[in-house]
Amino acid sequence: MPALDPHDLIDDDEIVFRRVSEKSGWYDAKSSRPVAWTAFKPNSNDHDGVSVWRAKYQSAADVAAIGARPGTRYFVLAIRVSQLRSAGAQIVPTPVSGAAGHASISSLRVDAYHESKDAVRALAERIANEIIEPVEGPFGPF
Amino acid sequence: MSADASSTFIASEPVSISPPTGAIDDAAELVSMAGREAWRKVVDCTLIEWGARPEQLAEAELIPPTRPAVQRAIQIAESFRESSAPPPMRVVPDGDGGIVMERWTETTMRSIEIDRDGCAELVMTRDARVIERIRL
Repeated sequence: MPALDPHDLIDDDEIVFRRVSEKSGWYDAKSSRPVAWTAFKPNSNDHDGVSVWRAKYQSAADVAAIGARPGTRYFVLAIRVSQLRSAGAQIVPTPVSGAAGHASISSLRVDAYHESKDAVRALAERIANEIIEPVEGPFGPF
Repeated sequence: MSADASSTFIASEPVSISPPTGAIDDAAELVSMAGREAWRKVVDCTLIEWGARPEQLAEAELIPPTRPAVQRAIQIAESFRESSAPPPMRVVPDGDGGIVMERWTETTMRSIEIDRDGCAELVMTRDARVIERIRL
């Protein structure tokens, strides 16, 4: 894993991307609530939090392609960091090998969910309903 | 699933029925038929498909629904269909082996959350705050 650059803190004015597959149904442009809160519910692998990618390092199209499954299309949800923080979410860089700009919404960790389902659910729903910037895509199929 | 939980879900819907006439009775029946058909599609087109081929949903961000979750979701969907409950507005994997079925208004949301073990809860939120969570 690349070393964390202590000077590469995430600024409030940055945008981060969250990828969702078309098959998941987590984004539906025709819905009165287009983004499902489940897009931000941590799963059992989200020990550091829900994964996002920093627009400073990756375009939306790049994010869609990272580890894409063949034949799958993806939407990319854009979120402004200042709005995430205003909602009470914490976001931290979590570098990974092979691609720059990975970060995690650390308030949405799997252990936090099991400790307080209501609080994590509320935060996920608020992010989905209120603070998504324009959605990009679909990208693919890859 | 308890009858109480079912009625709680139904009660969330904005029902507005004027004094009954034949035409209104017919319209209500059509609405009920449409609801049952929508529940049938949830079972036949979504849940059974996920149960048969869960791997189609697998992603780094998404652990597909487990067999117990799918079985419980089908059981709940069929129960709600039989009670003529309004159909869900969204049925999605929860990303961790479970399934979520939900309806909402502008400020409230009622979700049936089924986890990977098949345990189900009815969750109500208002303005994105959880105000009620009932084990089904």
